Amino acid sequence: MSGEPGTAGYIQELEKAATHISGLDEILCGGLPEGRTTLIEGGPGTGKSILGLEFLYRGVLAGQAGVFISCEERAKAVRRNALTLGWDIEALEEDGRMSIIEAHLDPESVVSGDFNIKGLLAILEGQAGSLKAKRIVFDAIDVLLRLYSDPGRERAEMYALHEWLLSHEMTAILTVKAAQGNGAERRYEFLEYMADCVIRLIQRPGDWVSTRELQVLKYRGSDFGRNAYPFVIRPGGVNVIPISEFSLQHAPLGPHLSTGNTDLDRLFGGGYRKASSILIAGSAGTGKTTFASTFVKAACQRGEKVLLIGLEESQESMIENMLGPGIDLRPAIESEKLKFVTAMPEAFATEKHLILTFDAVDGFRPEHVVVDAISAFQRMGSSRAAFEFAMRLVNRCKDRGITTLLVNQSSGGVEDRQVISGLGISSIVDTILLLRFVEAGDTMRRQLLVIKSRGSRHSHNYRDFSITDRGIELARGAPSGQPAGRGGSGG
Amino acid sequence: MNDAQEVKREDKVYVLKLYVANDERNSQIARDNLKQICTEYLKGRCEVEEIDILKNYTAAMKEKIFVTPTLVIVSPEPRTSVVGNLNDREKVISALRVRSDHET
Repeated sequence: MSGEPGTAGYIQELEKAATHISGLDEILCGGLPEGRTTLIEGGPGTGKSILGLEFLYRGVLAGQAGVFISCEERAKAVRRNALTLGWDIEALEEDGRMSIIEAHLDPESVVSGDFNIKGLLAILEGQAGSLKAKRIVFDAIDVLLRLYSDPGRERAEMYALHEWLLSHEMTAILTVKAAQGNGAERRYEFLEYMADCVIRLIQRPGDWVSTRELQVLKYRGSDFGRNAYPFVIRPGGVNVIPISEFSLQHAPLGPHLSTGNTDLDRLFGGGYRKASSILIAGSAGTGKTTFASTFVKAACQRGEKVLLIGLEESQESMIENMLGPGIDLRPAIESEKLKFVTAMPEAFATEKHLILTFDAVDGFRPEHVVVDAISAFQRMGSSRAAFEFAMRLVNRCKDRGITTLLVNQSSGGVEDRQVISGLGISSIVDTILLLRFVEAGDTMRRQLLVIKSRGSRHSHNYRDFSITDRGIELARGAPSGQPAGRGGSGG
Repeated sequence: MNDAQEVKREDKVYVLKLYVANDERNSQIARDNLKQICTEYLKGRCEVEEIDILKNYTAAMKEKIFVTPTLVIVSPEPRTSVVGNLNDREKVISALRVRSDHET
């Protein structure tokens, strides 16, 4: 594309080689730099080989032949792994559209004196030539480099390889095991300088499910998405979920919608905002589900569709429990305005939950999505999983103008506010409503506090409330309990 | 002295393949080193085939030769490969399983 007439200068657009990998081209603003070298680094099992292989595989399907050089795994293993994702590499090889070359040194071989990788380049030249391939992946280049005991020689060989790739206008990917600390792997740092584009893959350990993330560290001559993007590997291939900070921060909020309670509406300057994200947090029994259900019932009565993702209890028990405070959700279900999706977090990995949820959102096309409760993920000992789920769901819904109402159970006590921010969710939601119990004399009072409400004026004071058989009732005036935690601006 | 004994033990024909990248420096060094080793240890019982992978990449692919120079000891068994310019003489000799201390 040429520049706008009258703009100061003409910007040379970098040629891009589309990866055709779901979500990745978006982050790379079109694809990898064509005719140049990209480095993919990451620890063991982060998905480097699969990402490289998919780049070739999708390229072949789009009419670009490719050569995969495996410096660590056997070609047989590469084909087998590909098959588990549904890619028949062997068929492509037989077609002469793809080739896997094993580049490992026989471990029994003896090293005597200096050598270089001319043999490999000759093989490459021949293979790439006969396939007319312009896409090349060197998988586990660090294993190849380990042949050399001298860092100087490693560099020299890599620069020779890089030169060869450039002069042959190859769009190349080198995968390398990430530098961990200041250990021996650190010496491959020069590859980061050499490459035009550097992508890092991260796998977060310790959680009950593994979370994979992809981050572009550098891209010479091109813009790129700068976040760490979660991704999944599932049959079909890699699926990167691009989350744009901008969409989270700058998405316009819709009109005020009644919360289902006039007093509460007043507190929010008219109600929750359409397409915003709302977090209702509090310890067990404070009334979180009652607040959520109040909104659900009101929305469905207005004719809006609500998808309720129940992670804590069954549809039947939730409906039953809400009859107590006088919230009857049955008409909403009968009119098909309310749809329940219930699942136990323990049943699948976070990614699977997300995909099922996304499918439900796309299928049902609700105006609002309610999750009761994201803390169910945390129950599994992973606040990170809860955060991931919330972040990705909120982002997805915002893109579609859908309101998200997240219920989160905090452990309770005076640290409630810290607990919320500790999850990291507070930064991605527009509105936070905190519910708590407070001891006043010999009784327990319920109190609520609006901690945050983007796009609305709101009170900074605690308000007493009660839950009766007619639902939520806010007490008039100032709370009788202790004052608000902080002397913020007067409400 | 024990020359006769040694000949008995090492009385085998060596079939060697040397993969080179034309006359690139390490390949030249390897060629020279191998010539010397053959003269010194394997006189008269050594067949060397030189393959230039720049001219014949399919041979390199078949044999999985991706570093040059590489010396493949085809026979006697077991098949062994030695990578590098063969400057480390001791390693080559032990890979060939000929005695390096034949002077003693």
